[in-house]
Amino acid sequence: MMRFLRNSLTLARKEWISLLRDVFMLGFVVYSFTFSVYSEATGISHDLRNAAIAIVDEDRSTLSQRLVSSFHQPEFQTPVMIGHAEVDPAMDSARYTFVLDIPPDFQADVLAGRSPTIQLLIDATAMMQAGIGAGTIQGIVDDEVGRFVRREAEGSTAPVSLQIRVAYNEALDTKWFTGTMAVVSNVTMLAVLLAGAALIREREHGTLEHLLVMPVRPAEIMAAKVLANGAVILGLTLVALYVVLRGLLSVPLAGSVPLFLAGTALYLFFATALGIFLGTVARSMPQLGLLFILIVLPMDMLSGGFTPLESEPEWLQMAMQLSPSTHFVAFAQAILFRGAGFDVVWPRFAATAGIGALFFAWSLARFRRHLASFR
Amino acid sequence: MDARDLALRLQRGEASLTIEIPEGFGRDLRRGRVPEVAVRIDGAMPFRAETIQGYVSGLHQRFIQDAAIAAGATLPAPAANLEMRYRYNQAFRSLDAMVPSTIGLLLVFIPAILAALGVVREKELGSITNLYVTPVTRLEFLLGKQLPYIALAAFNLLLMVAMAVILFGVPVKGSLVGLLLGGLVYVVATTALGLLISVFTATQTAAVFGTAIVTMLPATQFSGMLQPVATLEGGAWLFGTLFPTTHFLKISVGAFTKGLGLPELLPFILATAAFVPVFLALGVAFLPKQER
Repeated sequence: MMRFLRNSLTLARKEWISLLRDVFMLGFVVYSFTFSVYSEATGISHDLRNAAIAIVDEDRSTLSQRLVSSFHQPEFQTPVMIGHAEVDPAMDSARYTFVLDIPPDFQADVLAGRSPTIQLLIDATAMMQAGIGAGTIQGIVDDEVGRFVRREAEGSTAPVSLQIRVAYNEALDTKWFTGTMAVVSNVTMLAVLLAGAALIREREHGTLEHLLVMPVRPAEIMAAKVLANGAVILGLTLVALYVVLRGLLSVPLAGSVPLFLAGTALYLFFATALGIFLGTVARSMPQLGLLFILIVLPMDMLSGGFTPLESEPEWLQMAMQLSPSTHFVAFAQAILFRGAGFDVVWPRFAATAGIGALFFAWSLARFRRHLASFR
Repeated sequence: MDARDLALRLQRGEASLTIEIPEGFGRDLRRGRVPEVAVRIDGAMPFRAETIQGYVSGLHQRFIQDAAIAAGATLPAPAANLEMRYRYNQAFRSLDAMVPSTIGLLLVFIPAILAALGVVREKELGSITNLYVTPVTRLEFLLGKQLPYIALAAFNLLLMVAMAVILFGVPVKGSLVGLLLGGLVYVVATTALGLLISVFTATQTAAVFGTAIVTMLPATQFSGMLQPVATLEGGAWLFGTLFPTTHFLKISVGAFTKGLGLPELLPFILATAAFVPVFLALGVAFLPKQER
């Protein structure tokens, strides 16, 4: 046992040294956990921001002017006034996502109580903005017209009042979610990549043969790779959590960070073992890259970190329960957003560890055979 | 269930929404005392919370209206109506929007990586010496490298268009010729981008990750896939405009979902085509003819 540990640690040191020499890979890993997380969190926004809107004003009244001026930053760009003929070409080339068409005599009809209709054209190919924006515009038009006719708000006469509270992220700041999930997703991607690349690198440089003539066992070689690469990812996760998430994006990190890191460490056994598994299948870096796109990318996308798991078809939800990445995403959300403790997340931990151990054993068997083929 | 139970279920992620109806709700309602219903939504996934919030408010409004109508009240006509028309995609199906964009994403990512590897592999294996010692010009070398990958990517394009139509049921409402022509021009541009990247990278690993960084970020964030380019500002807008995916997405979404014909697609196709000579010229300019 002591020999196993000593050998593994020595080999792990070798892994770190070879990673330090691979400047490009190291740079890529660091980039992924810092700049990439930040740019993803701030770049992809699920809020309505800076939406492009154009208005066809056929009324040119006080009311229509008020409507025009009620669309402003940060939700909307300053509306552009266009004519009827420009609507189609502008929407075809995606210049505006929304076009509001105010009919002639709109103000007069409102005042006469004839309930005129404003038309809102929405570019439905811009899925995310179209959905949120339509609701926002509806609200703005209702408010503005209501204020114009000075009608009292009807909320005070409601027979039931509704108190909505959003728990865990009151302001519904999407940066928290996107940033944290970017870290979670990068843990998966880079752990697999680093471990896989470590194996391929040895093969391409011919150093695998060197290892084979040394008095070390395959289990020790694999344990060293898992340990070394897992530790690198775990360290970078810590940096990403404190520097990028809490520091730059001011995500509150509701739960216990040590608990999350412990879970991540469990998960990394699976992720690095998967990397080594792919490394034994692929013969070269390009093949590893393609296998990665085929296997790791879908696994990561379907784990619930990008879209809710509930919106997947039933059979897929069941199948995804077999992937530790699903449990990883679930406990990450539970701990980091909802402040859940070990009493809540332990089933997820158990599933991650259990499936991870099985996969680790399978990968090790494959790795043994792989090494044997070199003798 | 009691309130503590609700909080726990929310925390475990077993419920995304909890509704707490207070004691004596019905009685208070009949006596006009305005009882309060407490709704708590799991905000861990903000856009899902937003959708839930919308539905809950809508239900609340509906309940009030129904109650008023049941009580015999007539609701006043609204001062004005807003009629929403979801153009190009009336049913607001996400497939119709996502499939054409995904084709654009895959046709930059994979062809660029493969083309880049084609050159870098020769560098790593040393067979690039052939370029240095034979009278092959740099342009001939690059074009020869590019052609097979163009053919491969064009085949991919056909396959993906067929899959979109047959498997996903996303019809090509506009010009198929325009889509295929635009796609061909696009893969010529993206393979040229791969060659350009290959000139600057020395190892296959570097080529794979370098291409991934250079293509994925602008293709997913700055090209209109997730957010319309019209909403971008400054550097992000410039980056998006100077990247071929932005223009191909207009072709792809235009031909599939917006039902544009060849004449309307032509400006976008020409814009995509403009990238080809630029990428190739840069590639030739930076590819050393002699080993350094």
